[in-house]
This record gives sequence, structure tokens and C-alpha cells, in this order.
Amino acid sequence: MSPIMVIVVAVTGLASFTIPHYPTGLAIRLLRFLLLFLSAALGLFGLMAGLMAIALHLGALTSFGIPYLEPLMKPRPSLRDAVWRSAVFTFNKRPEYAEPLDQVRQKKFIRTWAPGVAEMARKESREGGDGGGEDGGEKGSRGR
Amino acid sequence: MGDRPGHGSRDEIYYTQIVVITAMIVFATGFLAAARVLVPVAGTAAWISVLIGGAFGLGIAVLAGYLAARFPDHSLVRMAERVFGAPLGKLIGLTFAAYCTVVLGLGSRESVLAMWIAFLQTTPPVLISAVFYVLIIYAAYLGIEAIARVSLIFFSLVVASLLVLTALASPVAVPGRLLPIVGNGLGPVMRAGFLAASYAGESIVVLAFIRHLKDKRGASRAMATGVATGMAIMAVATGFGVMMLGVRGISRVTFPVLETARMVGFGQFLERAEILFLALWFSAALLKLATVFYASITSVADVLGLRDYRPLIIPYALLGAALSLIPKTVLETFDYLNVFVRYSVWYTIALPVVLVLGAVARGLREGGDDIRDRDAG
Amino acid sequence: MTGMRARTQPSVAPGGLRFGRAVIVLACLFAAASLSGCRDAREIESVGFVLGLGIDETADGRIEVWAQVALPSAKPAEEEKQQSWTARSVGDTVWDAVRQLNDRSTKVLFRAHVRALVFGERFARGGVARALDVLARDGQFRYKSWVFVTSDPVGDVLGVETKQSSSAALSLDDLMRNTARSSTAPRSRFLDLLTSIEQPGDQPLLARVSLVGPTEAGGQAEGEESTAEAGRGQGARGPEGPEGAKGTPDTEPNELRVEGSAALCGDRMVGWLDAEETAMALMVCNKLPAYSFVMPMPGGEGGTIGFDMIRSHADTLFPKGIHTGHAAELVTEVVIRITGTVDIREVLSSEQLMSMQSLDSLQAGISRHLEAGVRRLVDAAQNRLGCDVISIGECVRRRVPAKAWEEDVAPTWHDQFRAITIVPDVRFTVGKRGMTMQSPRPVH
Repeated sequence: MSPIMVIVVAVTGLASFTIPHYPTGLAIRLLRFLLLFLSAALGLFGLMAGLMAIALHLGALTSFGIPYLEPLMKPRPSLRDAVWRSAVFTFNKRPEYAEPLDQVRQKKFIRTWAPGVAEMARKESREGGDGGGEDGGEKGSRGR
Repeated sequence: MGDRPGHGSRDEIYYTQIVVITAMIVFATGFLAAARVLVPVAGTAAWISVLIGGAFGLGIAVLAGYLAARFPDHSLVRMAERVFGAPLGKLIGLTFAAYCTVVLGLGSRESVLAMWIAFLQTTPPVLISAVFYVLIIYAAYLGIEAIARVSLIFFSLVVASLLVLTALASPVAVPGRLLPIVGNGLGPVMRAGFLAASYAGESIVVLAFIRHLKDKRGASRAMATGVATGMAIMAVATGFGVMMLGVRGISRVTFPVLETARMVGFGQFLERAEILFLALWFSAALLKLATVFYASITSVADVLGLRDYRPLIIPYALLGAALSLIPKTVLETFDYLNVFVRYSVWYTIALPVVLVLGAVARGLREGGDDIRDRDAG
Repeated sequence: MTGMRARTQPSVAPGGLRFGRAVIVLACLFAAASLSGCRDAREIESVGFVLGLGIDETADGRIEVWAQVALPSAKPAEEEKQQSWTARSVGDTVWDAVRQLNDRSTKVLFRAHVRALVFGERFARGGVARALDVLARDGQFRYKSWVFVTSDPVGDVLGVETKQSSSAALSLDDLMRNTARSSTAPRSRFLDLLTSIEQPGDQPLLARVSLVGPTEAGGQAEGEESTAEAGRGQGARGPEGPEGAKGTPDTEPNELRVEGSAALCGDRMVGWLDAEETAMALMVCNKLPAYSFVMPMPGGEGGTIGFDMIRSHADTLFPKGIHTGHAAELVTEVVIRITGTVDIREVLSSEQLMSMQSLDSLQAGISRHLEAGVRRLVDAAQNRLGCDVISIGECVRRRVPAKAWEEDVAPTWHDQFRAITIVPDVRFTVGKRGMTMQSPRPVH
């Protein structure tokens, strides 16, 4: 147990507190010991082998029948939720790989407390006719 | 296949995943030492010969795609059985499995060698091989879908690493070393192109599982794109190696692309950055070998008439590991490699050509009389 | 079907069997770890980072190797003057000597951070290929290391306590990287040395490092301080510089200067090139980033004028073509056409260059001056050194088929090179002249 290893364990422990999703953080905290062990044994090669094993495991997982890595498989709008995190008020549709019953998640302009947004919503409703501001109002629902 | 489209276990591969898998099969284990094989023959035009080999590979990919479209739900062994009847078809399937096994053994040997020489010098290569094969076993256990998904993710990382490498090493690359453009002459360039085609020809391995592609009409295009991408990467790697080391220098070193990586250091404190690149390339090689492994055991399972290939995984992995340990020294490995690139391209051209000619001659199409009434799922 | 379900989930075995399997897997992992020898792991405190390597030959033909190892310490830099130690060992071959160095060091020597590789003159004249094999084969040694040749004792060069950095090797590294605009030494890396040695048409030039004292010392005419900024091509010097700068007994040399170069033929050093010749050689090979020089003002007015050459381009032309084949004479005449721009940095003359004719005559004068310099270099390369340091052979190699080069031209290139007529054709123009158009001077 060398000084460097102690530092690495401490730093990774602190870093794991930054993971926003708590269950993922728990899983990563468990896995880091496996990776630590592998890198101590085989260096960067061992680290890569461990990461590859984790990646393969993730590749085979499914979540409610949808593959776990499906959001990354095609360049689609849902990348803004998978690779980085866009603002929540832009997530107007549900991802198509989940095959939802109703594609529409929320209205197009929901931050109506902000004056600029309220103005845009009003303009949209004037141009769009009835039930204004909804993104793809009629064509949204998709029965299955 | 799932009875309800989109639900249940699917075993589906997308178009992009086929492109990426084909590209990885073409370049992942070959590009480290390809310059060493091609430069003594073609001289400074080695990168042109890689492109010529890629043209061969495109032809092979087109034929393979045609077969995939013609027999949409058949693996390669099944195609051979339908075209030529059971005994001959099984024999052809066995040769295909043998080819995949040779690719597996040689590819894993090269990757283990690169790791061993450059990085883990005091570790016994048996151990590196063992780690490789444990991961391959796990990947084959999980199936082609998992491999395809992970390949897509790691491919972009590998390509990004190669771009970074090229950018960082370009101050020391001398473009004048690529002159004269024709190198040793047109004849040697064509001969080297034929050798390079053996790398591109490895893409026929995809035929074993192309039936999992959803839309078979894109099979030809997907494989051709993959071959083109893989060979383009190899051409850049080879050309860069010549620019950095010169023709004589390349014949001297063991792994030319590794020397390029050794020129890179980030800032003044992060030396030995080639380890990072090597780790990424190792993962690409691993995914390629996992794919080849999967192709060979599913082919063997089809030949033997097994429903599930899983019982074959561990014995076959032991066989692959044993094969990868046959060449005992670096020199022997390169001997084997030279023999392989000289002869394998014939097989990779002959196999799809024979199947296509047979299918056309017999006028067969999917949907006719089935020899076996089950899908190899 | 079970097969299909198993594809998306690892197969589920009954609980006890699964646990047993996990234990077996963990046991294998432990066994694997012990096989790989993690008990022998080296921690970073026990790694000795070799910053500089020096190789020389003793009088009785044995090889001396110096290694400058960094000693990182917790104290701030001002308190500790010397943060490295230099070890020396002698062996029959380079590897033998390096092996003995390892015995002498308390830390495990790690060669991946070697910044400077210094060859002694005696070793260089005997052939540097003796060191190249070990270094090229070594997985740790970087091809990016700078290579120098010195006529001073290598141990003194590496052991010099410079005020500018904590060790001589780091000082050399900084000199080569930061003073890239100072063109009087080639930026020779180990990779360049390896590739040049293998091509007869492209002989290596290695940077020359010498020790200088804080004041003017030895025979090398110096101006101000003894840093590398001083060595800016101040006139022509004699071709073979005297034995370093250790002349005056009352000043200890404590600075390093990188200036001039050593010319190698194959792997043996054949002579030195001084600062101006080196600059001309680099200019002909298109490797000159910038060059400063002072010349007498052309025309009758007298005085001197100082320039900064910022841009140059050299083309090698073969007006009579290249003939390959055994009977024909391969290359007879070569024209080196050099074009470029200079900036005026200093005018110490009554001629203030305010008319177009004076500018034209100045440009002609610059071109003549540089042409004379190139001619001196060509004469040195062909007659005194006898090797192709200006890469004419490389230009030939790029224009002929590879087979013709390998079989017809390369074997006899050294003799061919000496017999070629090389004609320099230099055309320079004046660019900027600074913030003042005329010199400030007192009104008499």
C-alpha cells in the first residue's frame, strides 16, 4: 500500500461524490476497487481491461427491454440528455428508442414566468391557432 | 428474432455498428506493423499500396453484401449449405472457421507482442494473453450485440486518439520522405497492394453475423464503408510512419506506429504518452478479436449443428490462446505474419466469389426450400 | 427460448454455484496478480529520472557514460542550488557503462525523461553508431531528446552549475526549445540523427555546446553575457574553434552556449562548422527559422548595418538534369536558389537608405554577402569536410526512382558530391526597417 495508492483512493473517493445520480455513484464506488486492483497488477493495461469489462457488461444490459447504451447508438436529439445535459425546459419530446405511447412530454414554452418566454408563447399561440405553444400538438400522440 | 418488432431480445445490429465493426476488423491489429510488411516491397509508396488493397477489399465487401441481401437470415455456413448442399457446405464452413481461427491467433499474438515489448516487459506474455482471452470469453458470452455497441463507442475514441497523435507528431514528420511518390515502381506497388488486401479481406468475417443487420439492403454499403474507413486509417498510419522514420528506418523498428506515438509527450512532464495510445489500441484489438471469436464459434456451432454456441466458448478460447502462443519470438511472429498476408487474400477473394457464383448458378433465393427449418438464433 | 434470453443477460445459475464461480474467478485474479509481480512495484520516490546523458571515449578506447539524475526536493528552488547529481562510469561498450551506472545509483534509473544527449568529440569522431544501438533499442529512451557534440569535457558540461536552471540538462533543453529563433545551431533531435545516418544524401548536423565563462573567454570572440543570446552570428570565425572557453584562469565557466555544429559523415564526425557556416547550411536545407547578422554597409559611405532575416526559402535546381545509369555522370551542376526577406535592425552609417537606389544597392549587397557565405559553406562541405551536409543528395533521391537511387547513386554519392559544381543564387529583399526611418543623431 504505497503513498500514491492512498492518494489515488482518496481522490477517487472524493470525486465519486460529484456523480449526480446516487445509485450510479454507489456502483462506481464499488467498481473502483476492482479497477484499482487491476491497475496495481497490470498497470494501464489492467485498467483498460477493467474498463472494457465494465463497458461490455453495460453493452449487454437492458432496461425495461431497451438496451442500456441505446441513447448513444445513433446521432439523435436524445444525445443532449445522454452525452451532455441540456436545459430541462428543452426536453419537449420523449426519446423515440423508448417507444413511448405519447411522444410529447411538455409544452414548448413552459417558463412563462420569464417575460421573454411569455412573449414568445403568446406570439406562438397567435400564429399557431388554437391550443398554442404545444410542440407538434396534433401529431404528437402516437398510439401503439 | 423477436416476434414483436422492437420488444424482447432482438440481436439486432445497426448500420453504423456494421461499419464500425468492419473498420475495426480491418485495421485494429494490422496497422501497428503493416508498414513493416509493406514498405520493404513498395518503398515510399506503401500508403498507395494500402489504398490499392482497400480497392480489393471494396470488391470483396460488395460481393459479401450481395450474399447478405440474397440470403437474409442465413449465416455463412448456412449459405454454403444452401448453395452447395450439406457436406460440401459444411466443409466450406469449416474452412471459414479455420480462417477465423488463424486471424484470431495471429491477431492476438500481434497485440500481445505490442503490449509486451512496449510496456509490460517483465510480465510473462502468457498472462497478457490470458487477460485478453478472459475478456474475449466474456464478450462472446454476452453476444454480438454487446460487442457491437461497445465497438461503436470505442471506435470514436480510437479515431480521436489517432488524430491527436497525427497532430502532435506532425512537427517532426518530413513530407519529403514520401518522395518519390511511386516508390520502388508500379510493379512493387501493385504487389504490395495485393499484400495489403489481406488486411481488407479480413472483413469477410462479418459474413458470419451480418444476418443480424436489420435492413439487408444496406449491407454492401455498410461493409464497403467500413473497409474504406479501416484502410484509410491504415494508409494514414503507414504514410506517417514513412514521414517520420524514412524507408530504411521503418524496416529497422518493430512497430512503426508505436515509434510515432513515442514522439508525443504532453507538456514537459507527461512522457511515455504512447501508453495511453497503446491502451486504446489494445481495446480496439480486443473488440476485433472478440468479433472474430464470435464469428468462428458460431460457424463451428452451425457446422456441428448446435443450437447454442455457448458451450464452445471456453474450449475455443483455450485453442485460440494456445495458437497465439505458438510463435515464441518476435522474429517467428513476423514470419507467420508474412506467410499469412501472402496467402490469405486468395481465400478471402475465393470464398465470396465461389458462394456468389454458386448461388447465381443455382438460381437460389431465400424463401425456397429450407434445408433446416430453424433459425440459428 | 432459453438461448435468446441468455443473450441479453448472463446466464443465471443457481445461487450456490454462482457464488462458487465468483470465488474461483477472484482466486484466479489474485493468482494473476502475483504472476505479474506486483510485489516488485516501483514507487515514484524510488525512480531516478535521468535528465541528461553524456557519452565520451577515454584515451585508451573505453566508453565513459555520464548520467545526470534529478533530485526533486521539498525545499523551494532558491534554497537549493543544485538539484541533480551526475554519475560517471566507464565500460567497454555503452551498455556496459550504463549497466555500471545502475549499480552506483540508489534509485532505479528511468531514461524516459532524458532531455539532452551530449557526445564528446573523441567519441563522435570514432563513430556515434556505437551508442545508437543501445538507445534505439531501449524502450524508455525518447527519440525526441536533443543531441549535442562538445569539444569540452562532457563531465564538465553536464556538471556545470548554471544560474538559469537547476541542472545543465534542463538548461540545454531550454536553450534548444526557447531560443529556436537563434539560428546558429541546428535543432538536432535523436530521431533526426537516426534517420540522417541511414541516408547517404542527408548527413547529420549536430548542435555544438560549449562552456563559457561570465566574461569574454577563450578564443571565441564574444560580446556581452555568456548566454546563448550572445552567439548571433557576429561575423565569420575560423572554421575549427579552439578548445572551448576555459582559457582565462580567473573566470570559471558556468554557462552553456549552443552555437555552431558538428558535421558527421555517416556516423563519424569529420569537423566543426562555425556559427555562420551552420546558419548557411540550415538556410540551404530550409531549416533556418531566423538569422541575425551584421555586415558592412555597401557603397562608399562606410559603417555597418544589422539585419534580422525572418523568412527564407531555398530551392535546389538541377539545370542539367539528373542522369542515372552506370556510364553517365550523375549530377554535374546544382543551383541553389535562395530567396528571402530581411528586416533592418541597426544602421550605424551615414548612409540612411532614404532613396530607392540605395535600397537596391543594399539588397544587392545583402545578396552578395549571403552568397559569399553560402559559397564558403559549400567549399567547407566539399573540400574540408567531404560530406553532404546540405542535403543535395536528398533532393536527388526525391527526384529519381528508388531503385536508381539505391543502386546507382547512393553507393558513390560521397565522391560525386565533392565533384559537383554548386552555384548559389541568392536574392534577398528588404522588408521592415523598424519604428524610425532614420537614425537619431546629434546635430553638429
